[in-house]
Amino acid sequence: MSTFHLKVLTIDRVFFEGDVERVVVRTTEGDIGILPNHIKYLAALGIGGLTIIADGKSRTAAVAGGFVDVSDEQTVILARTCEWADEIDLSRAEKAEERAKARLQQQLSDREQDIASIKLKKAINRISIAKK
Amino acid sequence: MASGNMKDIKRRMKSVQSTMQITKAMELVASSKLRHARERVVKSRPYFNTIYQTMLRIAKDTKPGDSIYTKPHEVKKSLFVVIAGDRGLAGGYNSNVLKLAASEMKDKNPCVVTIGRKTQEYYAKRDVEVIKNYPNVAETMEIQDTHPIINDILSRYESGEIDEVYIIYTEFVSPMVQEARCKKVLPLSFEEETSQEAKSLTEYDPSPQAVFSAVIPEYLNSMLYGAVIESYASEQSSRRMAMESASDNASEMIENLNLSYNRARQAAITQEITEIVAGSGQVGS
Repeated sequence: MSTFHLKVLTIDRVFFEGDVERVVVRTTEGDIGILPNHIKYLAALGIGGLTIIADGKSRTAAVAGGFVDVSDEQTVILARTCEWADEIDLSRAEKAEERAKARLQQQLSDREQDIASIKLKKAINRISIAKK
Repeated sequence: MASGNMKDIKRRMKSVQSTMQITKAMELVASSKLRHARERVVKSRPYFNTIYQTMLRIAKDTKPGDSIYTKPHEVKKSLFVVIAGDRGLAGGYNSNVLKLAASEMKDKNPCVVTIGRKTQEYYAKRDVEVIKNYPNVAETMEIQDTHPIINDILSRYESGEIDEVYIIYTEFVSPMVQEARCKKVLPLSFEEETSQEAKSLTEYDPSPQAVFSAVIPEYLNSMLYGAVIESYASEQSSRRMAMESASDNASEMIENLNLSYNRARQAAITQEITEIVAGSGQVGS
């Protein structure tokens, strides 16, 4: 099966680098799948999952923020945060979810409301990916 | 008189010795911190190079006037983000950054955001408008910590309060060489690199402008993060060097003092013998 080169980078590490068959990632517009010989493509990432399929095996990670850049030579995903499903600290994520929910109950300015709801989304995303 | 001299020298030796102990300890601490800081710098480099390449590509595909981040406009007020250390005793590190900042601010209408306690102290005494201070953040800086700083700057930029943004930091060239640098971050300009090449025929989802404005905060965050960790590595490195030379000087001083101490001791003994011999000669005759 044909493959393409994928790099997943975060600021503090090279998260993944290698040849893969397929990648599915959540952009701001929804999930997109990338196969070999994809047209050049650029989009910002939302909060969601990243699935990498290589050698017939798939691995899932939780991603929040950043962007995906597909060029002829390679595909690069620059993520603000990114962690493998098995790296996620489930109890921490659940605590973060509770905290964000409690915060949303309070009277907040629009900006604080935005921050809290993004935090909630991130926590829910991590929980759902860890449980998959 | 001679014994008094000896005591003086002994006292000085002791004080130099204890100073040396301190500088030696500071050198060791700085070099272990430097190791961590360098690791951080090295780890973040692939991310920067890639994000920079991507920005170039997007800038190529959009016209300069398309976004307020790239549009050149009249400059009334310039914001300088000045990054220096939280502590002194780091050789010329802090003063080099602040000197560069002062010379860049000439003929401009500046305001500053300070990162590091030394910059805060410096601008507290000067006639420059300070927008915000962020002391004691460099050592534990993580990428999330830059978001509030950048968001604040971006909202000021978008509202027209400031017209351009510079970052003044110290680049970690090598453990021996650190250079203070001034980098213009807003409005973005990639003109030199982008003028010749053709458009890359990339599909943007949903639109080039939307992607551009999503990538810009990302880009600025990583620029600021990079500048802070480079500066921090430079600070540790220049502190290590300063402390190393201080320890060297101290040990040289101790050597010299030791020499004069021994000389004084010998002189005292010689004098005593002379006195005894002279005394016994008188008794014998």
